[in-house]
Amino acid sequence: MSTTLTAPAPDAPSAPPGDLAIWFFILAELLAFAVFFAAYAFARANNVELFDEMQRTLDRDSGALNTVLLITASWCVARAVHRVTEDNAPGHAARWLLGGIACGGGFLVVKVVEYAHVFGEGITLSTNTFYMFYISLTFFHFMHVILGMVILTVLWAQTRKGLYGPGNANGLESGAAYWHMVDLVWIVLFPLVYVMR
Amino acid sequence: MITARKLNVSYAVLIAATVATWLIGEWWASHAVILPVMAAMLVLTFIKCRLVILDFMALRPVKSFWRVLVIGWVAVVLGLISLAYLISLN
Repeated sequence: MSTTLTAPAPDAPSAPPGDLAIWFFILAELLAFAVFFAAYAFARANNVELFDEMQRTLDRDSGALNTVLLITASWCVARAVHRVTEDNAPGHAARWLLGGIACGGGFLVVKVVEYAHVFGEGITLSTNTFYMFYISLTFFHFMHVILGMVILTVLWAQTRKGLYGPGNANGLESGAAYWHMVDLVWIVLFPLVYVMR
Repeated sequence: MITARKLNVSYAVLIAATVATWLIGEWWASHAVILPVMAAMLVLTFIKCRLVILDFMALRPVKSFWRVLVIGWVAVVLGLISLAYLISLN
């Protein structure tokens, strides 16, 4: 906590890495997810037995595996940015991005298998309040992962071409910030929907 | 500057915290709600979010406004979740 409150160095940058516009977009997305999370938690407070019973039907192992995959993808993307901005090594950075894309793809595969099981049971948005939240909340996040994968793929292609370097990595840093936001949201979503009861 | 070593250490902590979350979930599935376990889960989640924000999003070296804003989002969300769960216990 102390790091959070500690004053930065006098020459600390005033703006976060990447384009300022992407940060306003990220903040808007975080606000939308905050409303979703709060709605889920307070809806559960009024339907504790239903939510706890339905939560038992979820595959917690898949949720945990997906957390590991998204965190690993985020780490790969952070290492890619570091390779470009600190080491001016776009070739290595492209390989790190490829690792991130592979982990993001892994997340999508695990989620599709999970959805196939849920929908195969005949569950829909109107089955009950828990599944209305589960499907809409996780699918909203799923769409963000898909968009993140598209962004990472574009970044990978551009990094391979050597378009980014120290002092010229705004696009890479912007895309990376978006991907980390997707990871951040899942880190809250997993314990909230799959674990807490 | 955030070093590669710092990124690796944060990644290791994040994975360890995820495994801990999963293990708590395994235990919790067959036990009633206990406030200290709930608190541990929220603290683990806060630690994970904070590491992603400071190191992966690279807000650690940036002026405090941005860190306060994004970490504040985590605090508000986890606070609302805590409030809802406390209400559900009554």
